[in-house]
Amino acid sequence: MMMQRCLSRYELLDIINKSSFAMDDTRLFLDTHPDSREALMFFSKMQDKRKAAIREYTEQYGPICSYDVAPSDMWKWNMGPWPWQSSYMEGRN
Amino acid sequence: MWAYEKRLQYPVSIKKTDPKAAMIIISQYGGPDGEMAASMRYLSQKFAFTDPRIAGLLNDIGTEELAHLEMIGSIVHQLTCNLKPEEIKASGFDKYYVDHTLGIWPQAAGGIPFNACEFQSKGDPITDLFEDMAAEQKARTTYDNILRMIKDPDIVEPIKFLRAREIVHFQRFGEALRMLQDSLNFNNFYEINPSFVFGCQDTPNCSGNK
Repeated sequence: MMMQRCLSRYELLDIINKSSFAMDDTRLFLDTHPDSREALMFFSKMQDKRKAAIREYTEQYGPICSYDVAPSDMWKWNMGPWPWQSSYMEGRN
Repeated sequence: MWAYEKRLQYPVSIKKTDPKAAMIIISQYGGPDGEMAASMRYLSQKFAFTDPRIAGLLNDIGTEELAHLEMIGSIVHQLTCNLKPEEIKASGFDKYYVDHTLGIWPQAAGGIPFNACEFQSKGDPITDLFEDMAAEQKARTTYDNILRMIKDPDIVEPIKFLRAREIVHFQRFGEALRMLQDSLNFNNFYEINPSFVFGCQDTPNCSGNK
């Protein structure tokens, strides 16, 4: 999926949250319905969406996962805000 | 192992503090049917499950419950951020505050500390799955009780999300129970421990339980 324009942090986060949740829910469904073609296809579609959004977010706004921290001369992983702080979602819209 | 993602499963962004609401909601952090008990229950039970599909389901749901624990912690944290001493006293939050200040500590709404006795890991997959299904419904009831008392949409939306997950998990555990029973002799589901029927296959020298 190509991002048409530079999406805001909240727009990207929203895509990441929604596609990840779709995968969280479908993962459990597949655990008990391993041969559902429809679910397998949906999982893979959401996987692509999530992957693209995480790549874009990580480049623009920093890592979601510490395994994906980009090479740099300054460690930024544990800079706030953290997701449990209200400032994490401040300035949305 | 686990890897942290710097996001909540469903965002929590509360604009108005409400220590009274926080004192109710903390029950889903460390209370009898809370997310800590849920996560520890499934992540502990998984070791005794001989069917890899169901062990995997327990691992996946137990992992999701950790994310729910973090959401509840975030709600309680944001509801009690920067409270003034007068607000703390007036709301009745003082009894919690004296021991924990504004830190998050696993307890029930009534002040009872989290205790591993709130869940069981029996080493018997049928028994454990029945407990898991009951646990999901008890958590759903608790979320319904919370929703009856709280109206702030900033709190209600993530709580509704969590409530819906309880129902999905109940359904998946029900399917897992059917999968397990389909692999057993249908004449005597409830008189045996399936982990003894199949034995432990995880240790090379394990002789199983014949």
